[in-house]
Amino acid sequence: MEEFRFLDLETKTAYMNMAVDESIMLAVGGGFAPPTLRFYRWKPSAVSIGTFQGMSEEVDLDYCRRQGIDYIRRITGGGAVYHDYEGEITYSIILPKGHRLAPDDILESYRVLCGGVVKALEQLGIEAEFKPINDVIAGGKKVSGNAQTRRHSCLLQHGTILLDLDVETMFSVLKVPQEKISDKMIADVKERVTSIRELLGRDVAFQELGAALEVGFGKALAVKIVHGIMTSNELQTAERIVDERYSRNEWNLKR
Amino acid sequence: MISYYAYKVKGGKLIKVKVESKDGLIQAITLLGDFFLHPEYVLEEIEASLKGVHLSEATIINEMGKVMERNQATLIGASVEDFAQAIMSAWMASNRNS
Repeated sequence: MEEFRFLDLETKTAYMNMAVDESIMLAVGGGFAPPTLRFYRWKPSAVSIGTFQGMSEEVDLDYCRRQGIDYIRRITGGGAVYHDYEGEITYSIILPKGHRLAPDDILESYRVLCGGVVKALEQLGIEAEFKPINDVIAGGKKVSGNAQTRRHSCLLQHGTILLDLDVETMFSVLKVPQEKISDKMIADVKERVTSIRELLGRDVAFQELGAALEVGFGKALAVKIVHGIMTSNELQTAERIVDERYSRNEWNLKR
Repeated sequence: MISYYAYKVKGGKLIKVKVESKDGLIQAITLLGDFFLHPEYVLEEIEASLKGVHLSEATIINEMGKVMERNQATLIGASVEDFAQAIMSAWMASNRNS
């Protein structure tokens, strides 16, 4: 069975998290590293926006600065996401171009890779399904959002799985016209988005979700998950990418 | 004149356009939203290609289409036609207001 390098749940800043995804792409694309699966959390909590979104249109930067919430532009498309340190696990999966799990058809590859999340939820006793374009839903509500890019001779897909949902903070971070922040709107989000803890009606530890995701991806992708570490080269490259890209306003506020 | 329009694609994503225009020509344009475009760098090429272009839906579709084709690019959650429509709506809305 094919082996995937697995980088178990770790906590980093927004800048470092996005830079590590990219440095792993460079290593995998260059043939220096095997396909890699990585789990991570964001500390401080952060908001990431899709590569084509306008930062000041989507994010209340004053609120973020006051609350110590980082903000960052991803290299992937898709929407703005509030990454609560206490409320979610993010995964990334990096495959070399042409890999059997990286079909040319983008929607199809979302379906294949989101299978890991669906299977992980199944491990926890939650019936979930892929919902095109890029979501995983359970009980009709979104529980995971995912985004993909293809560059550096690789496919990168990263996505987030909600463990808990803090709608009030989410609305403070994301720019919603003040008049729209009503109880009704908060209720609407709760109609459309859910979390693992809500679905199971009990406390679920990070470790439990992490373990389920590890098994889920292994099963869904039919690969052997082998615990590994980043090379010093990957780490150095990530630090360079933080300096050159992610810590800069030229990038984050580009649009 | 700078105009702005946001448009939710049915079954797709939210696209937002900022159009700076003069005498029916696009001076500058920014396309924003939570759509997907592969490869991503093509968006800036599209924005550049629309500079100086006549504000007509067919012309915009044609220009965008050429850049997409040349780069073998894929849009997901929105189409070239959706963008053209949003650009035209932005322009027409601000024409009505001025």
